[in-house]
Amino acid sequence: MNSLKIDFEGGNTQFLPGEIVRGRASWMLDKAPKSAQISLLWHTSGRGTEDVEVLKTESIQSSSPIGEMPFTFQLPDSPYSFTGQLVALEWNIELVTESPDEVLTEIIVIGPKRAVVRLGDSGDGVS
Amino acid sequence: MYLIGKGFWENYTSRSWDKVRCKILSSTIETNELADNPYDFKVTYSYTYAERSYTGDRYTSTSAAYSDYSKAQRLADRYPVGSEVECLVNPKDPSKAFLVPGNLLIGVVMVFPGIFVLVGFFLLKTVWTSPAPRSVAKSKGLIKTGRSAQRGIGGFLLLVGAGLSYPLLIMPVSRTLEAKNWTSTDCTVIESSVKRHSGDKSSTYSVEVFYSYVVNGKEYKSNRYKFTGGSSSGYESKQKIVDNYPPGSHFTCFVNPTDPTDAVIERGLTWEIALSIIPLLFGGIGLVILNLKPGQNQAIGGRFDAGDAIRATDVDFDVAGTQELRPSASPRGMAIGATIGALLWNGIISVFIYQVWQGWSTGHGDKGLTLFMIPFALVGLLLIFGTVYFWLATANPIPILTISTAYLGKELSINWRFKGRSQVITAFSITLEGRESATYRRGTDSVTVRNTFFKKDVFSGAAGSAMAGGDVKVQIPESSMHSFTSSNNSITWFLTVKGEIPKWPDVNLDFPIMVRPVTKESI
Repeated sequence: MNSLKIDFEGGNTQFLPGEIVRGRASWMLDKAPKSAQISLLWHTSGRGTEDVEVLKTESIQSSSPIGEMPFTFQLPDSPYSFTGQLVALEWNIELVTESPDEVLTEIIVIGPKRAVVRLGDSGDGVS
Repeated sequence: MYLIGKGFWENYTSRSWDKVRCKILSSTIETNELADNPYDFKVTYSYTYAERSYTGDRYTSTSAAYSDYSKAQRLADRYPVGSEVECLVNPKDPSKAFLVPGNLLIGVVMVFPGIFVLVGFFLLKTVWTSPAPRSVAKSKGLIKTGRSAQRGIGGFLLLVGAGLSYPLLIMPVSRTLEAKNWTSTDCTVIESSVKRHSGDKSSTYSVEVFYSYVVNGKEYKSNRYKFTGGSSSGYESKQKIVDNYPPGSHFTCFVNPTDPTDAVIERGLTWEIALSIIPLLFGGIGLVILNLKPGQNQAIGGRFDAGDAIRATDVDFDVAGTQELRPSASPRGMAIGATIGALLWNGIISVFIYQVWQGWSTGHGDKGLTLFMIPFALVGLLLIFGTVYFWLATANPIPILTISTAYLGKELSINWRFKGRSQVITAFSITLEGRESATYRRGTDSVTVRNTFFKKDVFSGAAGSAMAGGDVKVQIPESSMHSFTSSNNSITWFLTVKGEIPKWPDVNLDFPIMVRPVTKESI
């Protein structure tokens, strides 16, 4: 039974733009992975075709089926996490191993109030 | 696909058959009036292989029947009775021989069923294989696959357009230009008629004039009336042409001085050249699809630091930090676009509307075609009306907006003035709007949906001195989203300017602005 885990420092997954996100990635697999990497990325969802941008990827070298590794990412000033009627943008920290192929995606939030911006909630909003 | 592949293989291997000397025994042209290709080149020849004598009657793997008499004539001239030529004999079956090897272009036909086979294979593969865990980061690879499909479809349409452009555009135009130097020759009509081509629901007709002429003491025959082939509806118009060429009558035709088998009656461009718009459309759509940019992971404006080049809007910066805005679509640009659209659309449908009109004016109206063309004609009229509307709008006064740098949570200063006769405007307003838009694929089409999530009146007023110009401020909400653009999704902010002009197209322009994230000191 394969399992992956991502722990954030202080359990914090909500950030201001420009802050640093720190944590630890760990895995318990049937066999040592051929490769593993942890990435900081955002992607859109909703009515439109999905757009993805991977900002940074750190590769993990491990010859053991059980292991862990700390990670540190400097978050950019934008884009914010947001959700609207047609489009939403979500930030993720993603841990991926190859052979065995496993993926774990954790959501983080980046915004000026450490919260997802909801379009239309800003007063005078019209939809 | 098996049958086409078998034919292709036979044509390919015939190229390596043994070459043997053959003697032409007979070389004639047989006419079958009822066939689509009525002029059939028939040849027989004798040859010896492995000390045995054979008689062959195949020119090539397919029949040598043509709609153009001169093509059959050229073959008959190339293989006169008594001449000795080289033929190809199948070493595995010497009774089988050709004068020329089979055409390999048959292989191109395999592309069409081949596409269906490939699509079916990939669909079955996705059903049979279990899905791998989905990595968002690795979905960039799926986007590349999508791009491959986009390139495939766009490339296919471009190929179709290029392929169709040869018979519908390139060939008729080049032959017409070439024929300007052809020799005027006295020709005699052998026979003439209107040929009927039966279709699924209706018939089409073509002019058939078979004529002879003499060049350097030798008699030639041809049936080419014009360079664009094919048939169309409208029996009466064809009959009128045929009536001008009764059997036995003389007229002037035009003969290629370098190849006397090549002749034509009408050497100029005819109305069918308008059909050349079809391959241009296919090719144009193919080019547009090839140049669409789906799934590129460039967050243009998606993340920016102060000083990044702004591509989400089209703005000018001055030294003091104010920007003069440009509208997202200029009135002149819209007018030109509408004109091109109206010309293209009405240009294409005019060919069919002419056919409909011609049918009714000669008492042979086609009700089905008439009803079918009504919605197309209505769209054409709408496009013409739209073109006139947009050209009138180019005479409108032009609003010029200058703004300060826009941040979430900060006040935005706006200055406006008009270029042109602003006194014609009776009511004027400026609105700040935030819109989200999402683009997705529906087949080969790209669909964009939009939603306005924020709208605030900045200024509104009736006719007066304020029309000439003024200043106003508006608070941009802090708890909203800054400008963001990626390949398929965007958040864009606009200043929308509206000006009512009685009995004239109104001023209605969107000025995109770049709204930056909350400043660091405000967080």
